[in-house]
Amino acid sequence: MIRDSGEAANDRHGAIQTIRLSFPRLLASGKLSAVEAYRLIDSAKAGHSVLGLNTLPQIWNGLSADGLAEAARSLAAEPPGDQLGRALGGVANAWMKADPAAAAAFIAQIQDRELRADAYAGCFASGSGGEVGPRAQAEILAGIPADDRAEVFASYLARYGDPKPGERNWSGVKIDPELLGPVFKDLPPSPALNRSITITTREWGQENPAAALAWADSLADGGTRQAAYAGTFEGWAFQDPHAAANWLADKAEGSERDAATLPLVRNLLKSDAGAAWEWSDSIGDSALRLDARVSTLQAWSKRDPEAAQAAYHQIASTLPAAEAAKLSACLTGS
Amino acid sequence: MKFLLPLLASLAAFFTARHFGGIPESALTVAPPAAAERSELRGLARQKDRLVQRNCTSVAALEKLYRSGTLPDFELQAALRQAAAHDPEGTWDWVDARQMSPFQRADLLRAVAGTWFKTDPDAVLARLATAGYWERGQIAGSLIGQLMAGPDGKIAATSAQLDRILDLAYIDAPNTFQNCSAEGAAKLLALPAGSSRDRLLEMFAAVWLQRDPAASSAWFQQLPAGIRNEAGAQFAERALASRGEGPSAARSFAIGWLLKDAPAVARARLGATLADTMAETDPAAALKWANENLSARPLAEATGKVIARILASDPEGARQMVASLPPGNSRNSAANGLAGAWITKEPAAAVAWWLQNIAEEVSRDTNYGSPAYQLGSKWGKSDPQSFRDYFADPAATKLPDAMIRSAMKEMMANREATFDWLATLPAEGRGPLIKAAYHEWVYTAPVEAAAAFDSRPELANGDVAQQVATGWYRSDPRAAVGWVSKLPWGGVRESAIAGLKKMAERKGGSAPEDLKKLLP
Repeated sequence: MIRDSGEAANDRHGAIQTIRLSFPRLLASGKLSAVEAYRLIDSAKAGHSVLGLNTLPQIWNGLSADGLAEAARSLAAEPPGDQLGRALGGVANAWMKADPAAAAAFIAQIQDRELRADAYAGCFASGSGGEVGPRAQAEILAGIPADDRAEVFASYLARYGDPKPGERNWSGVKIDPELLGPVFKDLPPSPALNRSITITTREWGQENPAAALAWADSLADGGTRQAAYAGTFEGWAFQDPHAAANWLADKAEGSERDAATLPLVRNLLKSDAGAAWEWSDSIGDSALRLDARVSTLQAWSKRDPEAAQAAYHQIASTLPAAEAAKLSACLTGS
Repeated sequence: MKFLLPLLASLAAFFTARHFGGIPESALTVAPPAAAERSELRGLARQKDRLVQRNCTSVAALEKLYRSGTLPDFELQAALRQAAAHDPEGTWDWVDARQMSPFQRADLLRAVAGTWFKTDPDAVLARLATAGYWERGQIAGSLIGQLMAGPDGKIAATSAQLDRILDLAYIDAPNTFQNCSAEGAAKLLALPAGSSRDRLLEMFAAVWLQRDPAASSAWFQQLPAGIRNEAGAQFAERALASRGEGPSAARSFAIGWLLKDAPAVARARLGATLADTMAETDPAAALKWANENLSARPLAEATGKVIARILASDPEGARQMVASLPPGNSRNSAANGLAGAWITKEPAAAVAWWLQNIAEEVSRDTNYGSPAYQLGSKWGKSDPQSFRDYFADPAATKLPDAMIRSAMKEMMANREATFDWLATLPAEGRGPLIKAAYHEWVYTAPVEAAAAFDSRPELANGDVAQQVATGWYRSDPRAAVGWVSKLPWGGVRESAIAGLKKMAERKGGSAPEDLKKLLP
């Protein structure tokens, strides 16, 4: 039934229910080993891995602390697989509740970064179904070693995709910036930290931009600060581009201002391409400035091609040839 | 709809009683009957006495008793408690092996778990963890009820055990905390200190404030700041949402707390609801407060809510207020709210105004539930004739696709009349409307959609044939291919076959044999 469950939707539902109800006891009684359970579920490859998604995080609760330790060790030794992180995450979740010190020590020494992050990320599942709330989420994150923390959060978020500003019916991870801010504050710089901070401040910028900017200014690393500014303005400028522009007008030139101006431009151009074009000019970083100009010209040339042409020709002679060609292509739509 | 609320309330009360209550253990305990001095035992006391006589101290005795005849549930629960006191795991296994409804099963396992917890809480929690979601939520909820009953509940947990139970249980705070009082608060405080106790305290404080702010406010004020802030936010959200259903003192207390004592994060989170509440009596003051205290999304939502209230008394003034807002989500939200309220009265005017006052990207949003979709749905439901009239004017502004789709979905409630109307429209302009009419239908009832297509040849075209064929192919490829094979030769049939070919390619593997026969 499990192997066939990838093929037909009705059977798949039956298989999920059967596994959820029977595997915990089979595992607890020793009739099925952790690796056997994982391999069996993983063997249903079709149906976009729905079976593993709905069962592997949840079948380990009946195991004792020793049983969970053995399950974690044996799963971590399995060859890489699409569902392995999910299975190990499920074991880690149960083990963290039964013996947090031993579980944390084991996860911290998993060599494969991705698998380690998956194991940590599994701890965010709630025992009563769904994900833990924001407070428990922040507590779990705070307990993860600093070197891994951002990677874990980024990996956890990746399961649901990015929440876009204003997105309706977002059913993914609930983000509470006030709780997450302290958790990310002094972490070592990394791409994963920048991604975690951008997503967190994007939410903060929609909710309380003043608090988000105060927090951003408290960050020590320049790159991390830029990520925080970019995220804050993605949220704030979506909600209220004019208030965001007013605030940014008083900000001294520099990398944070540049990082904030690109999302401001992308939101301003929806209603005022001329203002967006002017703001693009104010960006010091050449790559960000080109991005801002491309976005503006693409939108502007659809709504008012003549004005877009005029704006482009006004600066064309001052541009490097490659940049001029890229902007010119926006006007012709090529 | 009037019957719905009392019905839901009754159901909630019923399931809550099952979840946290059941037959009070004190009434069925195995202890010698206190009413022994009575010459004639009655009701529960008599049944309890009977049970004690049966001496159900093993699983075998339980089985024998069970087989002896039909036992009422509460007698069976009492027998289970007796058996579980001697052999909890065996008693649990005995229930596990019985065929019964999920409700009865959860009731019986709760009785076993409560008894087992007294002697070996870790063992019962480990066993509970292997149960299904719903069942373990029910049982864990019942254990919380017993723990909060204080010494009378006769069970105690460590901080780690309390964490584990709360992780497993779903807590419906207003139903869980039926008895809010200083005594209840003291029992909660007697639980082991930790984050789980704090969570319960927050929920308790929020419920108590809602029920009786005068009695609870002094106790609330002396709570640690973290607990107070979270409890205050939970309470204020519930109190402001109650809209006159709860005591007005609770709403006044919530407003005062948000204005004076709440942390900025709670004020931002609940600011829109607070402004809406203030606007019930003074919209201008509400708007002023929102502008001075909120920003970004909370300000956008507050502005939208206050303007929606102004709309009732001063529609033109409300429209001007929206038009004067700077572009951005604040203006879009306000325009969506205003148009949503206006569209049921003057749909064509509301839609024309909305299209002028929102960002182009909002009107282009084709997602289910987008503002255009919601407005279209209201229009199609409330005034289908005006929707039809709109298309009689060739100069009318083109409507967003999502609006047409949702309006047509509503119009299809009266299918034949809608098809008759579509047939009166010029062929070159009705394409999008016909497509919208079939849009969801081909997925939800493809057989019906295909039959409708066959019965209205005057509305048939290649696009719709393809729409029906591909929609049907998703759920029943053979039936879809069979339908297409019967279409008359020509462009309509070719279009449907092209759609099926694309679907088969997308699905991967080789096309079904029936389809291969149709392909050129």
